[in-house]
Amino acid sequence: MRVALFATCLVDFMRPSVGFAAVQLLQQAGCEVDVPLAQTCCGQPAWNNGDAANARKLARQMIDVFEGYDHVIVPSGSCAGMLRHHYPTVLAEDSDYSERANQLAARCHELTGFLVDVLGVTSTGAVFDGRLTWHDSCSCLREMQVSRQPRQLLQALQGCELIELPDNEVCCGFGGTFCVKFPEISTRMVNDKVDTIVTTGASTVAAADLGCLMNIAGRISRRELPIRVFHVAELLAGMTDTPAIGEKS
Amino acid sequence: MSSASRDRILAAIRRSQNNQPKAEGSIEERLKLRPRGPLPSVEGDLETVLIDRLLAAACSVAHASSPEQIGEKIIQWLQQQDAGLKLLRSTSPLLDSIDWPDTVEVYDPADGVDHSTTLTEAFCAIAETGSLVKLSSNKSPTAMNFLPDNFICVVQRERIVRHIEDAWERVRAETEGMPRALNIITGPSRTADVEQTIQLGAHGPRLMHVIIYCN
Amino acid sequence: MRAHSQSFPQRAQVALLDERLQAALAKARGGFVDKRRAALDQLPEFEQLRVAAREIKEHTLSHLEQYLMQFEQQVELSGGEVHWAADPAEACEIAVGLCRDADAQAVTKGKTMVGEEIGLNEALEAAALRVIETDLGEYIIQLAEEPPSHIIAPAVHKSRGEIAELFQAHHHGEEFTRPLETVPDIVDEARKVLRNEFLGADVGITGANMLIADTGSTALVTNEGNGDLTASLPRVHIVIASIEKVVPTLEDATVLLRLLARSATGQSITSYTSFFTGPKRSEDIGGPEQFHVVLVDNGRSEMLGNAYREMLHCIRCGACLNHCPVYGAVGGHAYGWVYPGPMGSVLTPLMIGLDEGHVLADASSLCGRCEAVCPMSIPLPRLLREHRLQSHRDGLMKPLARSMLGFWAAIARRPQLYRWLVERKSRLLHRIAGKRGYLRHVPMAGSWTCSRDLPAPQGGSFVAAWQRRHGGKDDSQ
Repeated sequence: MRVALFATCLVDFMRPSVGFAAVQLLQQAGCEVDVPLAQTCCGQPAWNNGDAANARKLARQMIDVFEGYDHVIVPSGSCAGMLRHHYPTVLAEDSDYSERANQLAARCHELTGFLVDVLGVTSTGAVFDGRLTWHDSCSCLREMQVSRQPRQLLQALQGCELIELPDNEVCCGFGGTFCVKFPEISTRMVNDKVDTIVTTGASTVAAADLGCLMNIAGRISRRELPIRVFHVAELLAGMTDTPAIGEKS
Repeated sequence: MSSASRDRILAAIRRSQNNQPKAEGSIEERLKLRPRGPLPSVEGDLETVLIDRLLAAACSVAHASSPEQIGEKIIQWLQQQDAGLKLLRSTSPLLDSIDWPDTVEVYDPADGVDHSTTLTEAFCAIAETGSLVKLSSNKSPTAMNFLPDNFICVVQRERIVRHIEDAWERVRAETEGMPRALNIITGPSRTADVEQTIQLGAHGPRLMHVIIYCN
Repeated sequence: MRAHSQSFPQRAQVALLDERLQAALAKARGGFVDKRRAALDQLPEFEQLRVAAREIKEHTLSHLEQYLMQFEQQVELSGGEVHWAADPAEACEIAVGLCRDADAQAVTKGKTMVGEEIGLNEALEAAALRVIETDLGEYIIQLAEEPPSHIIAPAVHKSRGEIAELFQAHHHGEEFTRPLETVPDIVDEARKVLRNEFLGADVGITGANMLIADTGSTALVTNEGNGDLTASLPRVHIVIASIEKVVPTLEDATVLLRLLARSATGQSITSYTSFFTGPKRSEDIGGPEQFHVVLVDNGRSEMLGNAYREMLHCIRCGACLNHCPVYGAVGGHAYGWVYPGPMGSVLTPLMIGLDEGHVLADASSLCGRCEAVCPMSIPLPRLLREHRLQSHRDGLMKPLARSMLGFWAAIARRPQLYRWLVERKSRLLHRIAGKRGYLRHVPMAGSWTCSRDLPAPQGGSFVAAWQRRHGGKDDSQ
């Protein structure tokens, strides 16, 4: 099976270890993985801000880059959601690309959803010693219907004690440009999220979206709390020796 | 002018409707067949379910098997509530057959409806929701359901239906059409507008007492 | 009601710092969310009912003209009158006219959001009528001279102490308990005061949760019974209802009713679910002599034909408000008009104009929880995006934001440049952050760093790094 990894801008810019972890997990599960060089941004910031023209341009570009693979895997619920659910709408009026958008959409998956539902992975064999809690990022939960799958894989980590996060379904306040357009409201939301994380007594929090994780880690860091923040791919690939998100090296 | 507006609004609706795909089903058919939607499962003996849900809605419930017993149960209940043996009652064959002792002052709606205790008979009861259905009429002004502190309502056991839709069937079968007011009443009046704390007796009755009658 | 939606950002900030409001919101939120969950746990048929409800709405809206005419015919057959109002001014004119024709002095009102929408109270008061809100929440905010902050619980933002103060200031008489301390005391006092108003009113005005085409009935759902007292005691009953409230039959109404109370308050049904059909029959004891329904359009006939049609499915349950993290953080007044929360963010720009209301559509992380809990499955995030698309077309976005997004897109469309910039910038920020692992101050990123640290990039573009390690077999472009 030949798959392409769409790393996403945040992974590309902020945290390559997530990309390498994702590749490792996919290869371990038997995939041939390619990471096309010409990938940039899926256009979500444009689409969510009503800029249809730029959203269309970026969508067309992405389709050009990612066609020709069996599947396109994305270590992000929101970017996967953009490709899978929104591209057909973004390009609905485009006679050349609308069908290609539908085709691509059908082959796009969030990473953990793909590992469990398509590849049938039940355990990645990695070790994680400690108490972990899981934040369901909104697009992962609602657009990609991914919530059972990451939990399954995390629970299979040796030594991992997975604690359910109260109000796990409540938005962390990232929302892409929302967090900088409405900073006070976003701060309230992320603060509430961090408060509930603290109540679990977990030493580590994980999610499938780097945007959420940066938001949560940024607040944890400002509040000087000793909670580590990792992307699910890193945990599943056993790559927790690197500093956590926002952690000092 | 309202009729010019009527024409404009209907024309605007028509224009908008023409831009949109038509959903299935004809209006004539729907109004004729009146299809029911999904029904919540309501299992078991109707009376048992009704009582369960009446209690959950903060009603009190009693049983009676004769008109005399209805009177006795009411007197008993009023005494328990320290409510005074006065009541305003509506007319129905059943309620008319109650012989009240002299200790009870019984009033008629024709003389005014503002009393602290009313006694009426329900058209039917709905087990699904623990509700009584009241129809306004020449025998039972709607105000009697809402003005008193104590709302006492008798329902005959064979008039307990399972689902809300069954009540509609009964209304269609037994009346000339909808009354001026049809009330589905589920417990006393209540509000949560002050600090989300439920308080009974907001504007309507504080207490609702249901007597299930079976001869 | 005048709209202040443009000042949402400022009002939101004030709301976040208002401790009394925050305490009230926290309490309300927990109650609504948990009670709804408990009610749905008791109803295995919920999803089926949602599907059926959507079908009923789609069918009805497809034949809206015919169903409204059927409704009108049935109202007339039962002795009532139907009036049509294209806009708020006309609706108020009709209502005031009916009150004048009835020589009315005092008007009691049940809670009606459409009434707020058309500014009914102001119009009645301007016509020298005394207007008394009878829903306890609405009564409280009437005394406080504030708009409602929630469509189901208008005074949810008020604490017991604040309510007691209002009553103490407005109610004078020896029969009142002083000081007012407990919830029962407060409710009892409201009961006494409003009882007199109910009995003395000449006209009663209510809304309608639904209009039944088959029977010409208007459905009204309350817990207090104030709607019924308003509808039944005065000589004249006026119902204000918007045109999308119509459903074909009582059976269809029942499907919606099963969803409404559960979604709103977690009850399987409210204390009083009433259906009013026409004026009193000649032989009835009591009841209004006149029954009027004022049908209000105010933009809905247009919504029927555009991208916002599904907003007409809304049954005004408030579940979206109760589950929205933005509403939960700032409350209803921040939205600046009648309808708050997700449904308000969709409706308000449609009714007051996008240039005034567009910031409401912006103030969402598009988390989608609203859509998930909506009993009518309304795609609220999609409708909010529609507003954003239109805002962009209309040039309503702030110039700086617009150019920054344009700039970003321009770079993203040039993969080589993009990659080069990512390589450079990520390494730069990584260096600046040093061993600390985060940045406290970043130019132009004050909206982030005011309350959060910015985690440092690991340094270098992932894609470029992967290509260096495994490149050569890349076949993109």
